[in-house]
Amino acid sequence: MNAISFLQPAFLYGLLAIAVPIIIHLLSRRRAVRWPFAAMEFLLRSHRRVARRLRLKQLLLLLLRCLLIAGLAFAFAKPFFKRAQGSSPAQPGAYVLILDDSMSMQYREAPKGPMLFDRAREAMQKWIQTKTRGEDRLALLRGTTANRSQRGEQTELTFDKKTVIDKVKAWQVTYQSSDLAAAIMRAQTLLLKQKGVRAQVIVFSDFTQNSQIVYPRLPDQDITVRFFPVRPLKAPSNRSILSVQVAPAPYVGQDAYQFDVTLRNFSAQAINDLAVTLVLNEMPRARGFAQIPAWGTTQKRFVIQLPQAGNYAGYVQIAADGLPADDRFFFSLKTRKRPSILLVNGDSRPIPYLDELFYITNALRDEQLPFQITIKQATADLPPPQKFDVIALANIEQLPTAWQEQLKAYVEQGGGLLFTMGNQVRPEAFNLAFSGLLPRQLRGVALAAQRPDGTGIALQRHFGEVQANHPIFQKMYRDGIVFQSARASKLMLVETRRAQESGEILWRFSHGPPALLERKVGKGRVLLLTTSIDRDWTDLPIRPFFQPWLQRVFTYLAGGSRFHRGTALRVAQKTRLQLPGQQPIRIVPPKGLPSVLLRPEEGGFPFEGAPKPGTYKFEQQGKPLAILPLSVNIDPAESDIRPLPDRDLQKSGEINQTTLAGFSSQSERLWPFILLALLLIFTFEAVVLRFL
Amino acid sequence: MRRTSFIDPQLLAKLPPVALKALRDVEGALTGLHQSPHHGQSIEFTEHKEYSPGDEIRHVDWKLYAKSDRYYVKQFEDETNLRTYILLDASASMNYPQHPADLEKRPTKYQYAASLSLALAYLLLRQRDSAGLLTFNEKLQTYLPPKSQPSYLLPIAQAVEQQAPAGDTALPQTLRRLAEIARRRSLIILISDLFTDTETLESLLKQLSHRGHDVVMFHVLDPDELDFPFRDQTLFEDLEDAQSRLQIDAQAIRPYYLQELQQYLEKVEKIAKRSGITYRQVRTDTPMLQVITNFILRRARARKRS
Repeated sequence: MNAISFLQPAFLYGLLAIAVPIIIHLLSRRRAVRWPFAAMEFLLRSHRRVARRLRLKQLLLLLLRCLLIAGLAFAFAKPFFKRAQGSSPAQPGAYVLILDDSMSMQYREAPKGPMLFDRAREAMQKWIQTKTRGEDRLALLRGTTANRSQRGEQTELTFDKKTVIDKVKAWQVTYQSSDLAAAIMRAQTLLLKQKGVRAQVIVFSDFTQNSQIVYPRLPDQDITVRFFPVRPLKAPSNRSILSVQVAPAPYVGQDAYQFDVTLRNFSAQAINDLAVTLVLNEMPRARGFAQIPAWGTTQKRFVIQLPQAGNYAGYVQIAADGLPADDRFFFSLKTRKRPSILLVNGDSRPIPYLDELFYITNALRDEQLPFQITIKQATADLPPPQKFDVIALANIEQLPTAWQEQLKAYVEQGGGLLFTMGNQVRPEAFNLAFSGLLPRQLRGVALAAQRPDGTGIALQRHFGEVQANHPIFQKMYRDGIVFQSARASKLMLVETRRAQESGEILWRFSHGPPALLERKVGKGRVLLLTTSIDRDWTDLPIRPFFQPWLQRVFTYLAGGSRFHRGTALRVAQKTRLQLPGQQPIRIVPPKGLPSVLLRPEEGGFPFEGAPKPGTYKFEQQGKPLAILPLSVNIDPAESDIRPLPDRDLQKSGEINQTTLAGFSSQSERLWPFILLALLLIFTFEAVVLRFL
Repeated sequence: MRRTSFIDPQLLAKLPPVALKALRDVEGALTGLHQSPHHGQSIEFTEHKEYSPGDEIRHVDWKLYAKSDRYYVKQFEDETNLRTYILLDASASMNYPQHPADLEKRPTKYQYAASLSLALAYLLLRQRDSAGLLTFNEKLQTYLPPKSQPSYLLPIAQAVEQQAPAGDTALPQTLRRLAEIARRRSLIILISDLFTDTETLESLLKQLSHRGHDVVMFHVLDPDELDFPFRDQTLFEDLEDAQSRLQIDAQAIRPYYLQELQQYLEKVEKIAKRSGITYRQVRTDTPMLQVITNFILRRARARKRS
């Protein structure tokens, strides 16, 4: 059945103004001036002649004026002609409304214009007011994925439209990711038991690339899913910070850190000179400009010195756009001074220069460098690895099994480990002992080839190419040729690469075999030098580059633990925080949000998720705790606000066009015609006055 | 300001020194300015008439007898004084306007008509013609027979002033009565708004005209009646009939009223033409001196032409 509905029904009260011309008409009749007149005969005669016409004219004018006022009231009420949809209108409807309150709905086309969410909320209210009848029942669900607290939702079907509208009005947009598929599934479950009704799921969303709309349909259920896209009028444009990677920058200095900011442009226009600012502890520390190609990604690197050890909370910020929530990326990190090094000697000698650690200790003893060195024999009782930032195992035959286990945990938690080879190393035992740590399994010792003249003296193999962009080698010399001056007479061959291992070759011998390999284990790093660190197998320790290079190796390895990234969460991500102590800890969110008290449980402090991106600090009994704050960011996928193509939407449901004015494809706007009719009435009135 | 007297000395002083003459021959008791239908003793020759017994021998034209051998008698024009009956409409409809604001600007129709009648009476008496007055509404109210004494103006003025406009207009009855009174050819001046039955009016006017009376009709109308300047919803009440009233949008009815009025005025003018009488339409906002002067001068010219 077709019907007229109104977008601004309050204006219909204006119909009462029809009384005004009627009252004026009646009053003017009553207020007539008394006038004695002589030529009454002509008046009476004229009146007899035209009385009917005059009365008709007056009535017509009164009618036209009433029509004008009624028409104006109607036009202001914005009527539209809606066409009934779905199955038999005789059946009552059961509608589950899903409002996408995800972060992408915060998009604004104009700086002070409405958010997409505001438009969606308004459209949904209008839909409820205009499309539903008294016998229809409604439910209301959120379209976001995480933190399904059901707060503000209407999870039971109700006849009370007003309650639903009030809930829609009170709803606020979130910073969460959308998961419409889950919401549609919940809606289907709600409608599962509804018989003899028109069951429909109504979804108001921006339907971006991130919208999950592929959902399993419940079998044997006649449930219609209808999509109401609320989209920007122009092609949306957005740029966002996808990630911020922090790493030590030993090529600049002991306390230098590099911040790699990944930026993304979600628009068809390239962005030039986008201002990027790095803020640490509320102080802008670096500022630069980035160029991002259309639909492309770019990386901006900041390298700054952080000489003060301690906790740093900060963010990277770019110039604000239509979706400001993804223009800041929060992080936190902790730096420590004086990396402590444990050198485990596997081949101790009484003559210093013959000792395995002679060159390494000399190379690291530099007044400029704050290394704290502990030397232990492999056979002695070794201190717990967690006390150190870097552990070097030089020419080790074997270690206590328990310590080996600790070593593995130590690396996974961020420790640095260096293996160097030597005559003590037994490949099979070594592989067994350090299977989870070695970049590659050891294969066996390779001697340099015999001289062709049979003198038996090994031909020494030159070191070859280095991975020049690795922090160990980066910017050390203009080119890597200087590293090729070293030679080795023996080297440990390693297995060819296996899929499950992530060893990366940083340095090769000139004839191919790896000289230095790296593997990341957990948060830590492992380096394997396939030759000795003393002069037994190589002349590397006496090369001029050896000392700075080795210092850089240890700085690099210590970096994994010299700084520590704080816990990073996504908005609304539930987790158990690993916090010290057994006392409740209060988490202090950014301004404007209430703090939350976390109580310890088995396995950590359960945290229900942060509602907003930002830095969340900790305090206990009113005093701030020296724990690295939480940094919470939005789901980067939400930044991609490109609309999902209609053909993809159509696979999952019916598309209904929603506009600012109403439901265009479902309705015919009437007020332009009413205004035209009013204009005609005005003209007609003028004609009536002139000629009738 | 309501006028207490209808005689305006300033007006009377300014009246032109031209005699008000009858267009037709009128019969009077005295010898005067106006031509008489009787051939009299003046020296103005008019025509020859075949002699019949009883004619005076001294008027036989002997020269003509010598030429034609027949007796013809010379006939001469006679001159007499003018008997004038002034008919003044004193019906209620003449008492318009009534609104004080309008009265500040112009007199009522009755006041205007009364002043006009007195000015004419003054003129006539000044030239030693006799003037009489009839005031009427639904019946004849006052009758002052024509007299030629200059002092006769005073009783006429008193009669006019004592008469208050009231009642219906019964012009036909008055004209019939006048026809009985005025047996001799006279000048009859009718001053009225003529809001009466025009069919009877025509027959009576023709009757008077056929009897040889020189009839002059002053149609006195108020500017409100001619222009109908009203705008809003107005409750019009008939001055002559308290029961007759009409509430109407004055602006809406105006064109139709003016159309009706125009038809009526044209009809009255045609009646006057057909009856052979003089018709003058007078607006009460027109200066009276202008009205009288025009009237007298036109009459004098017309008389000369005829």
